[in-house]
Amino acid sequence: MPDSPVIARRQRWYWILQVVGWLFYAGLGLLLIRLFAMQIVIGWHLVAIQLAMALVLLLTSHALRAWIHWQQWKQLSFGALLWRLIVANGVAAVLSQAVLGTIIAFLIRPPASMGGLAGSAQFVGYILNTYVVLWLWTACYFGVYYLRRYQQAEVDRWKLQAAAREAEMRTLKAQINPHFLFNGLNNIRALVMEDPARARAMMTHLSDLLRYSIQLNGTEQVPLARELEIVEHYLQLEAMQLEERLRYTLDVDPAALTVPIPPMTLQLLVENAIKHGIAPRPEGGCVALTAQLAAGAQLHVAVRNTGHYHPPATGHSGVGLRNARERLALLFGPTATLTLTDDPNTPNQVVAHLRLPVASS
Amino acid sequence: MDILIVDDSRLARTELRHLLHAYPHATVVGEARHAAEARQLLPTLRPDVLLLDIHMPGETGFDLLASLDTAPHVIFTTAYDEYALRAFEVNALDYLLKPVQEHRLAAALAKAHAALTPPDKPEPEPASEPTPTLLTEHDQVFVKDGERCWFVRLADIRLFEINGSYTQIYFDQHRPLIPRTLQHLEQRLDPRVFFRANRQQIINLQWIADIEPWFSNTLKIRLREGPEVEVSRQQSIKFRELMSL
Repeated sequence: MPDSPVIARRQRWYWILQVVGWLFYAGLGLLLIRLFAMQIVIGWHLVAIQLAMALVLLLTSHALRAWIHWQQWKQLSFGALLWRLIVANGVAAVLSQAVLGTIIAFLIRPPASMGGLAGSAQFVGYILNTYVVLWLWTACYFGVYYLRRYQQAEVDRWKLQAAAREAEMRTLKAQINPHFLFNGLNNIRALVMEDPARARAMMTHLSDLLRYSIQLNGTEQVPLARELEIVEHYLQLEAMQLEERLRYTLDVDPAALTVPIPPMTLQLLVENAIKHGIAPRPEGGCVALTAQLAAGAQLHVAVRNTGHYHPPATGHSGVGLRNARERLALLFGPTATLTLTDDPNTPNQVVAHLRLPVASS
Repeated sequence: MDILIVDDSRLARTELRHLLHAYPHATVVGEARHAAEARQLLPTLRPDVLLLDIHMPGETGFDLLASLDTAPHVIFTTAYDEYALRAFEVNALDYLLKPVQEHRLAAALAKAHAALTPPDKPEPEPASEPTPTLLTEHDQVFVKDGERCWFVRLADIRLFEINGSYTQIYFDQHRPLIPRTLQHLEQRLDPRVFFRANRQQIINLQWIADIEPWFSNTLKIRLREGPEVEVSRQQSIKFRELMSL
């Protein structure tokens, strides 16, 4: 058996509890005699008997423990365990009283004034008493064992949940839309002839965007400033496809730039704004992103775009947004919100509001 | 071979033009930025081939085709739409993935060229007939029924049948709806091949299996692989005339 520090610590505690517990039991016996049987004088004989009893019971219970280990009773169901303990405790009680009786009779030899040696009826009473005490001991022993096992299961469950969460985050992580990627590459191909310098710039935008989306795993967070760089790349690339049909503005409070956010979240909001707001309109439209720190340690990001909000039809659409919401819920709980509505203040405009708690550092 | 490029991205159109430079028999006659513009240009430019993007602002490439009485030869160009193109179960259809590979383009153009060269005789007889836009059996229509799409040669359609304000067409084992009235189709279809049997149905004469006399001087026509059609009294007279010629 591997002698890990955990097991060594448990062993130490076991012995401490054994010694203290049985000495306490012996002391309790003396106290009870003192309180309720005042005719008996507490002399060294009595103390010796109690100490001998404590020692015998300690050894008996330890033997019982060894037996439980050897027979692997911890793996048993409760019912199977119960009847085995009924027998084992009985045997242990009889044996321990026999040993104790022998010790008292031959080693301690109490004087007749103390009632002399026990009669057979009294001996049976002692056995029953020991039987009850051993039941208490096994109850404690298995109680501790079951409690520890329950706690271990709890920890395992947490670990499992954490692992599942991480796996989930990985799948929820926003991906680069392949349509966007290949259209981008195709446009760059044409741009190489038309405007080589701009084609080179577009290559760089695309590279950084790809690296960002590939490298980051779902659980990490990035400063808002970094995410905004990516949004810029993305907008530049979309502008290559949409040209004059896409107009955009970014307005960000410098104080908010260091706030950590889950990667690809703003990118998703901007992508949705373009995909559902600008791209379907032959005349194009405008995307405006604002970010600021709001009251109550909150980051508030709003992405507005020309268009009307069409709630996703039941079924396939709205996956990106739903994933983003789940991701936020996993990371921040109910304190993070993401809403998408028609802007109540401006006609023909859709607005997405993202609110995140800002961790106080 | 006259080509119309339909794509919302200017750079994508530039790219295609550039690639097509290498093919002397291919002439780009125009560019359209979206479906509506393409629909406007089609009657005047009359291209042989459409290089058609699927995702465009407003209507998709499929929507454009479904709205046309007759579909030109189409080569789809798309960045990432294999799932959409999988909807085409029946016909072999050509598509190019952007960025376009030269040898794929060459193959697609060769295929278009072969399809456009009629097996029997060269057909173009521009504006000599009073109704130059009559649809012949060599024409094809684009049919989109839910998620499924077909290019169907009119020769393969046995029967057109009224279904509300739509028309149900019968070909192979399929019976999709097309968003046009039977009235409209009757005016466009070549009367030498397509015959209005009654108020509800137009039949393709080349699919007739047998004809039998029916009650009160009418006719009953059984189509190959298809349903039986009762010809109205008035149309039965017409039909007899047509057949006796």
